[in-house]
Amino acid sequence: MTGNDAMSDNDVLRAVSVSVCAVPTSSRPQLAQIRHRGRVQQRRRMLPVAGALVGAGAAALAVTLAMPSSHQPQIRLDAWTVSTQANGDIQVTINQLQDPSGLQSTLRADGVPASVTFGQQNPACQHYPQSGPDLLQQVYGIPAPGQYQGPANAYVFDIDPSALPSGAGVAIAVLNDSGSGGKFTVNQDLVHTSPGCTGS
Amino acid sequence: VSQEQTEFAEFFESSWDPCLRAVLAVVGSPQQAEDQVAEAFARAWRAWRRVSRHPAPRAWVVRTALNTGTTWWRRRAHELPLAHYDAIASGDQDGGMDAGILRALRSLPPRQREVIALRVFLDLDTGEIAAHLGIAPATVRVHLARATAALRQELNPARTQEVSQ
Repeated sequence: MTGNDAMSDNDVLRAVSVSVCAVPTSSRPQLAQIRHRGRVQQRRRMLPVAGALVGAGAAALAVTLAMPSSHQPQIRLDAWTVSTQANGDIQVTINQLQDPSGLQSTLRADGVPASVTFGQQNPACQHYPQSGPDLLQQVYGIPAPGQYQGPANAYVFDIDPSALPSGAGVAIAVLNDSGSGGKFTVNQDLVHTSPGCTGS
Repeated sequence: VSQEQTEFAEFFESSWDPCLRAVLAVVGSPQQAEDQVAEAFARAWRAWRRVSRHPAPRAWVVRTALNTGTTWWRRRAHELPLAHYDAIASGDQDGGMDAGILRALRSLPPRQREVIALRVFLDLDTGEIAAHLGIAPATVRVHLARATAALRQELNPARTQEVSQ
């Protein structure tokens, strides 16, 4: 029997099916997470960027931040917004790349060990070694938000503080992709908490 | 719970696995496939009124997932290398897929892979695949014939080896 005689078209397709179906995959995401992600996408589509991703705005920022965040159901700023959802998730909307330290402080005040940097990584941060895709998805939603947001829309993501393991914090770094027409890379990861990285 | 939510829940429950397998067959990486299919289902929920009326909603999800992947790869090309910050992007392992099948699938042009995936995992016939991809049925048949021929070429040496052992 020759090789070509050995497999009919159906045999070939069956072999593909059997092999692909044998691949172990993670458990199916929760429907609620899919819906949540869809709502986030919807909001992202509706939120325009407020102006260019550079510029002033520190005055408004300072005034607003003077209010204690724990008593504010929502802190609205020109550059970014942090709001607490009914389910305890913290929603972050970045409109302009300004005042990362203010955003970082607000997240920390809301109980999230956080490092936020625009334009560079925080060199004091160390990757949390167990931050595989499942854990990232639990903390940031489904799927783990990616590495990019173009200038056409605000960047919106959620953080579920209850999903953070002990000793872990969030690291958010927005980087300018040089030579890519003003596009940005948004890296969201989990890191070890430390004074130099997440403040505690 | 609205009827819309119920319909989507049923669609999600029944369609996740076949859509995931179809996308996995094209992209080769389980982690990447899962991410892209999850993203596609989220988009399906966002546009459920439209997607629910689509003649082949599962095919819509697969197409969206694959388009997401294209965008993702294109975006990835613009990323800066980040030491210790690459956990999200690492997903190129084959995850246990038969090496011969994986090699064979990867050797196919993307459109042929997609046609195979739609046929095998979504059980679409030639006309449905043609309508979904916006190509002629004859073109689908050509893609299928070429893909199965190429896969057979790749798969048979391994099978012959097994027989001779």
